[in-house]
Amino acid sequence: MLSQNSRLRAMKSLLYSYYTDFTTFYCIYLGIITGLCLTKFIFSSSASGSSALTVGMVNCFILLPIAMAAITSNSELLKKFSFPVDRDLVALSHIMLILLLPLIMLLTSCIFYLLEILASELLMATSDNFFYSWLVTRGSFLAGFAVSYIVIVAVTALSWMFFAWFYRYKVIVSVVTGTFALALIYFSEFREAFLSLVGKVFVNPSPGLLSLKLGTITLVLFALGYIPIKRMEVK
Amino acid sequence: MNKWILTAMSVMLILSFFLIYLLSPSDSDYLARYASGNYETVVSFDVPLDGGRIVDVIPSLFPFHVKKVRMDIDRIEIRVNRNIRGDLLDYMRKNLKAELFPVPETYARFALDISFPRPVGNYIGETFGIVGLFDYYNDLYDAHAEFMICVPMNYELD
Amino acid sequence: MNAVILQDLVKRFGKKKALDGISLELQENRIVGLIGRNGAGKTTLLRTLAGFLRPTVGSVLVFGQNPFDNIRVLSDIVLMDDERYTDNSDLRVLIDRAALSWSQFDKAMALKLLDYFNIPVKTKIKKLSKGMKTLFSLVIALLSRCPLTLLDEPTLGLDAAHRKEISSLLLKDYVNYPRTIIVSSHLISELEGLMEQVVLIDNGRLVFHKTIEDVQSYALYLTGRRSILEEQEGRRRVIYKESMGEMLVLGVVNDLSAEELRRLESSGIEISAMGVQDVCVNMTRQDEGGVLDVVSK
Repeated sequence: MLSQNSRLRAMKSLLYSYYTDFTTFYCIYLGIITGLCLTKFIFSSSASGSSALTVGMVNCFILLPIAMAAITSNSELLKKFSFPVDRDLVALSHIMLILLLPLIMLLTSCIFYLLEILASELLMATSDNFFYSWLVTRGSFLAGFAVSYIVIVAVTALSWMFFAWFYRYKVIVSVVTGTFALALIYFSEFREAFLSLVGKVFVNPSPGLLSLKLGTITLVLFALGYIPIKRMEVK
Repeated sequence: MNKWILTAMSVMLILSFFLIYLLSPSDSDYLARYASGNYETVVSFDVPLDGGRIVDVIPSLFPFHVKKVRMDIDRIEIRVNRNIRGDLLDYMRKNLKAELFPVPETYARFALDISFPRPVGNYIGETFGIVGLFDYYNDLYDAHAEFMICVPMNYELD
Repeated sequence: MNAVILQDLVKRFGKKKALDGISLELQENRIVGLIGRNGAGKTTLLRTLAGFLRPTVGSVLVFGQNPFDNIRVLSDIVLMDDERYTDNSDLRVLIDRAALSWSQFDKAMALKLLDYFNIPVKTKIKKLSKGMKTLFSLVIALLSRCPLTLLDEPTLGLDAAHRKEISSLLLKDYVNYPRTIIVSSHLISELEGLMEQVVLIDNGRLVFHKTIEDVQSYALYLTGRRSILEEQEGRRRVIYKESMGEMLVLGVVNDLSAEELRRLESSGIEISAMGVQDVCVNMTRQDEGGVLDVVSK
């Protein structure tokens, strides 16, 4: 009971800490998406191209791996260990972040999509040469949201796993990654084999099947990333 | 951050999701918007109907999307979708300039030159770009076009 | 009950042995001074106790359990050192986190103390001076009232007035909330009044673990004529020796009987107690002499 209580307290404290950290991160995301949406309407003769939904999704792909590189670094973990916390809780809180942040960020892009529509309505009301089309359908929205979420989670989990290993075993991971990259560049057979493996996941799937495949890959990535975190020393 | 702000933000996030979902049409309603019957002719040209001929559409209609189709008609027509927000059809009826002329030194080629009198703004509220991974949604979005250029069956479009 | 039990504790970093076979038992509710030169292994020992590092060989038990990755034990341990609280957050956030982490954390008192030390809670920790940062870390560590409180150089960057106040605060809080406090510091003389026990380590090895009273009477300075003291040198364990012409100063481990002391005094030898600081310095002195020897060569 006491142990459960300690764990609960530690988890609350850790999540509070990540909440304060990610408030800044979220503000950066808001800033970027606001900037991109504004420039689309102010500086471009046409606001066509990517809507806020796609802009938000692409930003997730860029920002979340950077965030994962930060939270798995030794200096960041040292900060978290200033208060009682164990490695399971750290890994669990990271996984919660990986699952939660894309959801919040994608939902935020939904708000911006509505704001874009609102801006379009305003522009339409004030000028006779502005037009817009609402291309989202219920099916494509749900499928797009779900698949974007699962792909972002998978990519974020991959970067989390990579950096969790990298900061603990810099030399080994650098050598393995370097060799892998060189093999991809110089050995066409290896490259083709690798691309066909990736293709098996992405080519001609249905949204459900793709989500299932990526969900499984994500679980494997979580398990792989957990290993170095569980074994790490706080230095 | 204040608890109330946090709660309000969470509600807004969830609401926005449901709002988009509820405001969006079903796939079949969406497809119906871009069915041939929903386009109206704004400009048409009399053309010879003998032999095989080719029409080059010279400018792109940026920022609009265009479908080029052959159909059982005896004129070359530029049609505009009547469901575009902002009444594009009415605007184009008044402002679209189009000219069809034979390309010199060719017998079978026509050039269709289209221009707008002044810049127009167009916002396309696309869904998540990732649906491009699926053929079904690619086909769905290919149906979208503000303009349709229609030529008789014996004409080719380039 | 023992708060800490170390058995043949070895900690290696690559080829370097930071801790080399330390065995030690520390009872609950004591203030223990952890003394050693720079690089002796004090910080490594504290971090191992705090569960940050895993022993290479041997075992560490804190309140009967291994602290490494054990949240139940870790909740009872606080480590204060100059690497804590490097967040880019306001102090208020860190205080809130402390209150969430430790049920016994006295948040009201923490705010009062920070106000007293003129540390604004809306400041980011990165903007504090070294001394202010130390004060803040100390306030958190002390008011967490953890059964095992580890203070690594708790006076780093503090001025004399603050050092004195912190000593008083530590003592007062310890009396009100008894717990095991391990303090590692170079300023032995200032901690002498606080420490109940001394653990001296050198090059990762335990030199001794004694009560403060035992350390205070552990060694003596014998000052007198070389001819008399050279005879003693062969019979005693000498930890310090300094020649001044015909005079000689010997620091010897105090295993002299009352009779022997009387005899030395009657032969003109001046006998004085070696302070705790001197004992620690002399017990960990390098064989090749001091820095002046290096310079003179």
